[in-house]
Amino acid sequence: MSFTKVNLSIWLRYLGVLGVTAVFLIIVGCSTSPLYTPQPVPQPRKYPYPPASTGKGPTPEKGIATNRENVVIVSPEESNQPSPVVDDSSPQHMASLELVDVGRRNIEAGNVDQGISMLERAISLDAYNRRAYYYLSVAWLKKNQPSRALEFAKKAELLCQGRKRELKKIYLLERDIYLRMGNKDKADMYQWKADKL
Amino acid sequence: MGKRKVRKSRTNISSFLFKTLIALSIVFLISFACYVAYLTVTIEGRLSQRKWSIPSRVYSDSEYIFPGEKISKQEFVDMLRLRGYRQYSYRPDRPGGYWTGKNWLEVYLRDFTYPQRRFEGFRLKVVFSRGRIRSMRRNNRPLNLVEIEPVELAQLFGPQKESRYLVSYDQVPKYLIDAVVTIEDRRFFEHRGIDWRGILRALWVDIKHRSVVQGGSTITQQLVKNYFLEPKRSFVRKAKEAIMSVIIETLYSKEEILEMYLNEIYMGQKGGVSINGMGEASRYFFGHGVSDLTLGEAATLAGIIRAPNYYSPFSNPELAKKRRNLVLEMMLKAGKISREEYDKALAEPVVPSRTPSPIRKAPYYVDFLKRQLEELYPQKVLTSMGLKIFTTLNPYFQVSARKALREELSRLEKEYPALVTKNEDQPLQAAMVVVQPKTGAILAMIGGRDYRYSSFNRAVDAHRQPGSAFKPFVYLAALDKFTPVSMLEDKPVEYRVGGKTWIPKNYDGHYHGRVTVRTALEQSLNAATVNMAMEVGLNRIIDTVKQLGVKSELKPYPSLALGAFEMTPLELARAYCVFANEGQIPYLLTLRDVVNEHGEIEEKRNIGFKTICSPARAFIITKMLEGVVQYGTARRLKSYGITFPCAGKTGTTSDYRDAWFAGYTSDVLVIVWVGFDNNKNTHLSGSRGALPIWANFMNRIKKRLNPRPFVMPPGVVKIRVRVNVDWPPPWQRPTSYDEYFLKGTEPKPVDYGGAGRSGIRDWADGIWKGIKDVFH
Repeated sequence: MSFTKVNLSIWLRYLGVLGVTAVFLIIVGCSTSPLYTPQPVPQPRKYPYPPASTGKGPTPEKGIATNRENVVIVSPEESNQPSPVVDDSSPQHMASLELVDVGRRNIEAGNVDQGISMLERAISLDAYNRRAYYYLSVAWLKKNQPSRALEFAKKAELLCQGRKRELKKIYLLERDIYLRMGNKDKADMYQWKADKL
Repeated sequence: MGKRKVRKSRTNISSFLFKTLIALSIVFLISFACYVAYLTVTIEGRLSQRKWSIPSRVYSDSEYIFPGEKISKQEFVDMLRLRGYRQYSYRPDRPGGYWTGKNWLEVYLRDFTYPQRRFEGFRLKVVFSRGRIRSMRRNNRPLNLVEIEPVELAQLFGPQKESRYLVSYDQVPKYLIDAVVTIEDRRFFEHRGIDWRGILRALWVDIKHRSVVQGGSTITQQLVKNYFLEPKRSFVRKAKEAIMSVIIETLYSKEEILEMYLNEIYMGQKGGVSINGMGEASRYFFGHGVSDLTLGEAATLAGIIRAPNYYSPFSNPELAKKRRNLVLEMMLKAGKISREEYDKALAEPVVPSRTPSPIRKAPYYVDFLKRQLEELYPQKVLTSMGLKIFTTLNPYFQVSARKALREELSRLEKEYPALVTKNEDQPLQAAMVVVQPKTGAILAMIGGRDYRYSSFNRAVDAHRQPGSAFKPFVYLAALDKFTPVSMLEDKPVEYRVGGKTWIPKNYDGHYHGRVTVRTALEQSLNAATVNMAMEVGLNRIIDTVKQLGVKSELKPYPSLALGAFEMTPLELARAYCVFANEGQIPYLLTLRDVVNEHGEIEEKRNIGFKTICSPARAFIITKMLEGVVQYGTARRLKSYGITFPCAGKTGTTSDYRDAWFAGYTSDVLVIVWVGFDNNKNTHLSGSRGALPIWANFMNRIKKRLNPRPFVMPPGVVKIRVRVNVDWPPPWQRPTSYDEYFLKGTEPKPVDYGGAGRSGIRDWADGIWKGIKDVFH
């Protein structure tokens, strides 16, 4: 076996491997076209506008309509954490907290109606004052209006995302509300949620 | 015999006459006694019941001020003036006044009775710095929050149109009583209803002139005359007046009589409404209650009694001053005041307070409120029982809304002269509703351009097509089937409606091919929206809209998706609250409390919500509507200086009959409508016609707001995506952005191969997924 022949066969092997690899890469590339093909550059808008579309687009599937070839996830790290409401130090927020304090004291002293009025004022000053919603819920539960209390508790729950201690208090309040409404299943669920925190 | 007969006959006649006289006297006395008894019963009956019809008073909401709030000194002065506070050149020594320095203001706040609580007035010193309140102090103690009393918006009158603010004898300062008694009836505390000396003097003058030219009426007689008798002057009436005066003096104490007099007396005219009583007169002429009157003001009021319109400080300030000086002089002579007090009062200028007329403040709002009140109370109760009605209206927002609306409509007419109609009765109109979505409180309402020319409340009663402003509700209904990145075909599709063919057209007259749901909403694409609505199902959309409290009849036609049905601006405002309030729709509030004259709460309205959709769904629509403001049909907002987080949607109906803009921040939601009453073409889109009014208003009130980014609730997934679409071009809207999905509907990375990531790992991942796909 001459040196040239050996080299040639090696070269041929190499070429074969390269060819297979190339074919393989082409197949892979085609199958994941959004990844490897350059993004189609959107055509500049022409004036007058382009003629009406032929309308031969895909029919949306049953369930959620998708559009795989047109949407690309840029960042794989999805964020499904609700954004907690930042306690700002705005003058409105601080003033609103004053009113919450007055409202809370009124409720504790048994002046529930007066307390409700103050807490409603607190929300007028700062729409994201979660404490005001919480105490409103407490007040309406005291007035034996659980369905009304529930709406405020839901709002407080929404605004307390990310604050475990406060959220636990709200879950327990929601448990009490559901118990008052006679819905034991829901009450148990909220007890479980509170226990989990 | 004959003589005896004559004598006897004479004796008989005399006896007969005497007996007749006695009989007549007895009859007269009995009749008189009966008449007096009748008058006594009448007087007692009238005075034991309700003495006066007291109109109900409508108040705005109170306002809070606090350190750090963006209120300049001038704005605070405006706030005080709106409430009838007066500026002094010295430290105010009584409630209702203020004085100012370079960067500070000191105000003597008035007492005010709120439902269930009383605010005791005090001196408040406010220091300002760079357009903000730097500090607030009371007796050098810092305060964090102070409530400023509400503004009186209106009084609800009956047919008599008498404006009266009742005061008790104890509330009236002594110098007002002294002034009135001195000038009107100096022997009031001595006589028993009739001052004979006064009557003889007046009688002599009347005889001399052979007509009734002077009355020697006491205060009691004046009360009888005004309260019980006809104003016509006659001797019979005078006699009746005297009898009744004596009866009243017998039945009531001097203090009670004076209290009745001070509440009854006519004090002038305010347009078609009469000012009655010192309480009302004090507020009307000087902008504060009787307890806050100065000696000079009290003397002025006492002087007015004789000829209210002649001595009015508004129409004849010089005459009012002369009369006041006369009253002061008489008080000095009678020893009621000292020389020092006299000199001080004499130096006071006679300056009436120019409190804005209530009707100008919020007429449409008050009309709307009246309708609600009329469902709760009979008309008679509203106009006579002196109810205090507390509302949700924010005076600052109301004034700002009116200014913004007028300013922008005038600008539009200047810019587009075609909008100026030949018929002056049918000018370009607009309506505005300002709601706090988290409470449902209606903070301001403008029902038209000018209430004086048209009292038709367009905000509540104008049923207009919402056009594209309705689309967000279609998209809300579509969230079960579509995500913001789902593709829609913006193409002409024929629909058969009532035997006719209908093809939805876009505002720009062109179709844009494949677009995302987000783009369709941001750019308000009609064709794409209708095509999507047909897939969602029109009945499903109707169900969603009905849940939002829309009462208009909705028919399942494809054009429904484009808002081709009628609703009022108020209905639209409430419906939009569902997005701004995280899926909960509030009950709209105008009324807060109704308090009766004894201070008891008769009616109370509280905040209440009803959950319509999940916070996640509401948030996704809000995020798309934020896109409308950033990149879509409302992107002009940026050029108006609107840079804080807000969401909104324009609306334009066919033939440009209606221009809408519905926009909201985390704390306020505003709906604006512009159009003609007769449905004429305005040639204005929502962006051109309604949006500038919205922007103008928001720029005026933004310093009182605290707009915060919308809160991302649980159940939402945020993913950065890049979309490949036919439209819009990348220079108009970035193709790569953060998108929000309902959890579980987000595109999965596995479907797309982690596209867009860079580096060897991404490359290897891509190959590996490609191999899996090949061998699958």
